[in-house]
Parts: sequence; C-alpha cells; structure tokens
Amino acid sequence: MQYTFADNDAVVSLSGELTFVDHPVFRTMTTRLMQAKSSPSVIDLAGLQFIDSAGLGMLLVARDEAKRANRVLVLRHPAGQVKRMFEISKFETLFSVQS
Amino acid sequence: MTADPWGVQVWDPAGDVALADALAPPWLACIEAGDDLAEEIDGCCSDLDPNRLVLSLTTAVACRRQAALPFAAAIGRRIDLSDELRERIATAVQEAAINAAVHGNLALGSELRDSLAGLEAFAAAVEERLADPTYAKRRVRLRASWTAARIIIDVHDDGVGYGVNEVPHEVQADAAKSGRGLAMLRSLSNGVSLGRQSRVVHLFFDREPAREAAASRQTRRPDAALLGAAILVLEDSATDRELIGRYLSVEGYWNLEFAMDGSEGLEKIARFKPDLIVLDILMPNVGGLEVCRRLRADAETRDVPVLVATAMEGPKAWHDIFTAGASDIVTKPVIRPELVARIRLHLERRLLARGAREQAEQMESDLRAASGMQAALIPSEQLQRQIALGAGLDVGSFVATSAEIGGDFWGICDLGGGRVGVYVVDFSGHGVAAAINAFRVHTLITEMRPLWAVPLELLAVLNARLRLLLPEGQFATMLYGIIDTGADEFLYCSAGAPPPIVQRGGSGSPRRLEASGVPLGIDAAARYRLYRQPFQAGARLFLHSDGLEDAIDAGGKRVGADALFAAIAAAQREATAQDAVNRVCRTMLGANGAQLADDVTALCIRRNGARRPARA
Repeated sequence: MQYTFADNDAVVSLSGELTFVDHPVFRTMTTRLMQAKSSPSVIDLAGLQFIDSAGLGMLLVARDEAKRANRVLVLRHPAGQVKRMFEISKFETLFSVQS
Repeated sequence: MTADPWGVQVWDPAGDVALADALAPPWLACIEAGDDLAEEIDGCCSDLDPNRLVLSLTTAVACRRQAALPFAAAIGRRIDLSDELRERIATAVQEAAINAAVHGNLALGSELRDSLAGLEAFAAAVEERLADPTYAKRRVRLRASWTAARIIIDVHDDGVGYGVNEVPHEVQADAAKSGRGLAMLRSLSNGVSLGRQSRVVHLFFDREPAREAAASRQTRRPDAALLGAAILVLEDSATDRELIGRYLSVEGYWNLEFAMDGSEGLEKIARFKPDLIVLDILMPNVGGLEVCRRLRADAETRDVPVLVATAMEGPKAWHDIFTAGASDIVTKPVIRPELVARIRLHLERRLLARGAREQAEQMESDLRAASGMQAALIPSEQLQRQIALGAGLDVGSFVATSAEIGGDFWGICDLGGGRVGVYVVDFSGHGVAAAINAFRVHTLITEMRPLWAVPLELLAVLNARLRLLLPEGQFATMLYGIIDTGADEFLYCSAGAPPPIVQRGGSGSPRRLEASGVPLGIDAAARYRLYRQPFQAGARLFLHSDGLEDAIDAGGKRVGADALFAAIAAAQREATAQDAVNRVCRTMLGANGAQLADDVTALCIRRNGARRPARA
C-alpha cells in the first residue's frame, strides 16, 4: 500500500493494495493520521485497487483509534473491488462512507 | 529449472527446503515464489500442463507478498476470464491463502488484531513464528484447474487448518476486526467446501459471463416449471422437517407436502403423487429403507427421484441406501446450497427423462429423433479431453450402433488425485427398449458418484437395481475400472464384459487381462471381483464391447478375437489414442463398415510419458 497526506494531514489517499501484508505500513499511516490537528480525518480510497478481509479489519481498527481520540473518521470514494468488498461485508453499516 | 523424481519442474531461488518433501503428485507444475511472482509463474509454466496451475509458497512469502493477484492474472492468461470473475478469484484466493498461512501454518488466531497496538503485537507474533523452522517450513499450496464449465481452486496448508468444520453462511455485519474472511468465500464463489480436517479449502467458480445482479452469481433460479414440482418431505424430526421446508420455500418451491413417519409417508405418496421425495432413514412405523424398497417395487413410483437426507455415512450405509433404491444422498446436517442443488438436478433430470421416454416410446418408427438421446449418453469430446488431460491420459473412442439407437455406452469420470474412472456398458437387445434401459442405467451411474471410488460396491448396487428393473432374460454387461496414475495401477471389475486388453509401453505385445463376473441384472446374489494390474506411463489400455468381435466381415464370417489382437498390435505406432482406436475399428469392421450385428463401442486409453525407471 502507498499513501499520500494532504490538507495538513487531515486527508490521506491510499493507493495500491491493502491486504494482510500491509500491516506495518498501515500502522505508520494511521498513527500519523491520528496526530493531525483537525477533525474529521478522511481516508480517500479512490486509488485503492484491492482489499482483503485483513484490510477491512485494519480500517475498523483505524475507526476505533479515531473514536478513542474523539475524532470523526470518514472513508471516501471506495471503487471497484474495494466497493464490492464493502458491499459483501455490509461496511456501510459500520462506517461513514462517502461515495 | 530442475526436475524431481516425479518429473515436476521446480525452481527454488531461496534453496531452503528439500522440495521433494514439499511436493507430491499430482502437482504438475510448481514455482517457488521469488521476487517477481508474475514473471516466474509464466516462465515456469509455459511447457507444462495447460489446464492446471500450481503455486507453492513458503509461509514467509505468503505472509509478506501479495500472491493472489498474480495467481489470478496467471489463470487469466490461460483461459478466458471476465474482469469480474478474475477479481472474485483473486479476492477469494487471497482470503484462503492468508488463512492457510496465518491460521493454518503459523497456528495463530486473530484476537490480537483489535487495535493499533494489537496490530503491532500481532505482526511481532507472526515474525516470531516465521523465525521458527517448525512453522516456517510449512507451505501454502494453491492449485487451479479448469474444465469447460468451471474453475476449481484448492488452497492447502501444512499446519492445523481453519479449526472449523464448516464455512459460515453469512458475513457478520459487526465491528469484529477479523473472522469474516471465511464467510466471504461463499459470496465470492459458486461453492466452497473444506477438506483434510479443514486444511484445504476448495473453491468453485462457474465459467459464465459476468452478470449484473449479485444474486445470479449465487444460485441461478430454477424456472417456473421446476418450482411447481410436487415435493414430499418424509422426516420424523420436527426441526429437520421445518428446516428443509424453509430451505425449499425460500428457493421458490411452493408445492410441498410433509409426513412424519414411513406409513404416513406411503399413504401421502399414493395421494399426492410427488415428483420428488426427500426421505429420512431413521423413522418409526416403517423406516426410510423400507419406504424406498416399496417405492421401487411399485411400477407407479419406480422412477420417482428419492433424495435421502441422513446422518449415516460410509460405504456400508451408502450401499444399503442405494440398494434400497435411493437416487441420491445428502448428509445431515443439511446444507442449503447442497440440498437445493441436488433437488434441482433430480427434478431437471426427471423432466428430461420423462420427455425423452415419451418421445422414444411414440417414435418406434422414426428413429432419427431418438438418436439425439444416444448422443447424450456418450461423454462429449471436450469433457473427455478435460478429464483425460488432467490425469495425463490420452483417450480415444469409437462408437457405432447397429440401428439408429442402441444400448451401448461408455463414460469417464474424474475421481481426483490423478485417478480416472472409466466404464463400458452393453445392454442385451437392440432398438428403443435397450436404449431406454441404457438411459436409465446411465442416470443411475451418474447419480452414484459416492460409489465411483469403490468399484465393487458400484457393480453390486447396479446389479441389485437392474435385477429389479429389467425383465427376465435381459441383462447388461459392464466393465468398470479406475486408472490410478499416482499408484501406476489399473483396478477393475467386470460383469460379463469382454476382458480389457493391455499393452505395455515400448514394444510390448497386447494381452488380455483376467476379468470375469456375472452380467448385471441376472443374479441378485452375484459377487464381483476386484482385479489390479500395473499400468505405467507409455502403456495402453483397450476396452471394447462384444460387438467388435461379433461383426461380420465382407466374406460373411465373424471377425473374431485373433483379428482383434492383430489389429491392436498393428496400431501400436499410431501417434494418438484416437488414431489407434480408429485404425483398429476400421480394420475389424472394414473400411466401409461391416454389417453390424450389434452395437460397437471401443476405447483406447494411453498413459502419456515414457516408461519411467523404478522409483529410488
């Protein structure tokens, strides 16, 4: 997985794949996201090509971290396979997802 | 590239583990994952079996590299895959492979992954296990094979497996950080099952063009004609009765009737005249086996499909159940997709058989329409090729009938693990009557899939059923054998069929194998014998029905057995099995076709490869 921050770290755009093997990079990304000055935090998924159930779990971990820090976390623009995975796992009930 | 004793091409850039230990037949291709998976997969596979793809990963690679996408792409370079199907395959393989690596090989649960700190601790636990050779040497093996209709992918681990007995039916819409992967496999594929104490996941995908609605992917809806079928459920447990009833209603079947025990069941069958019966075995007041026997003894109910739902398992139980007359078995606890798929199969077949039988009976004088039925009994060329290629066999066949339709047929079935079943059946008599019986027996054989691996049981059950089915004086001869490419053996049973002829690779001369047994349908107490014959690479097997020797040649004489041997020996140098069998039959029957006294079926099966030296 690759990521780029913008807007004073309020928005991070993911690209490539978010799967089991991406644990370390996801942690680094989330830690930085949670340290941004402003809320809400946005994870932009438009560039993400592929996600597995471990990746879904990681997004839920990010959600919990945000809650703990009294932040709002929003997922934006899931597309393609990622969108279909969200549908299969009924993610819209767990997250604020902006299409 | 190096070749191990089984002729498998192997490349291991890391050179860590003795690969001969990690591989076993029938893996035909294996690539060790290095830096660029996509390139390696293509490079190593190009000379090997075109219908199969295998990837063997060390656990470390499975945990650190993304292998599912290149694997699905490699399949897509070999067969036609829509983007949608390739994506589903990649997603499903990813789930299965990670589970195999982490839960299976590393034996780690997912509880730690609940927080950022937990993710870090989990990553550390993974690395710790990977540093331990006991875990690290385990592999994750992906195998994809395909037929015209579907793609089958197996994912194996070498560890403790998933630790569950069944794949969950629903993806939980909760905030759990893990555990949804297995349930997703159902939504992503057209079927999933576990084996080897949950150390292997089998994924099935239909090869049809992607359609828009997700629902169409899961189960194609049966059409209205089927949904109106009258189904009777005979089951003494109220819970099971309700469960089966609910599964059927959800599927759209509305014409349902229920009974609580055997005697109520028999009474309702007479009144309700069901198109299909779901039958429990252990019931009070007339048990399931007795119900079955009575149904088969009555001409009115002889052909009604009976689907037994039972917790009883194993060849002895199946033998009793099939001998009593069951059409199929579903094990309890009943799984909805399996139940509805089997019910649909039997209803479709019943409609087809009813239609075909009516057609044949009223068209005694117009045989041309019935010849379509004859063609339906013989495996399509494509199916033959698929099954044969998968096991490294070359199959050629020749079928000619003495009238437009006949009572001969043959079949081939894939038993997995490099084993292929093959059979030739010959019904006494000709014409429409023989063809109808042939159609019936063909259906029986196809239904008895659990018995294909046990030839003695298969013949015993077919014998018992035909004894009930056939009038006095009619019978069928049958040769059923299993070619086991892993054990280099041909196992077979005969019910009065001409013995198989085998020819070793190289310059061996053909010889008849010993094979004797009573034809099917004559003696209910007949016992069959299982013969074993070494059958190695390069060897050829020749199976045929009586008609081949019985043909009358141009001089008015019966052609006979000696001529057959000479023809087989002469055909030795033919390049393919099809050329060989064509040549033999042309020689025996004359170029213009001798006057056929009987239908002729002939098969030539050759094991590819040169004869190997004995294993070290």
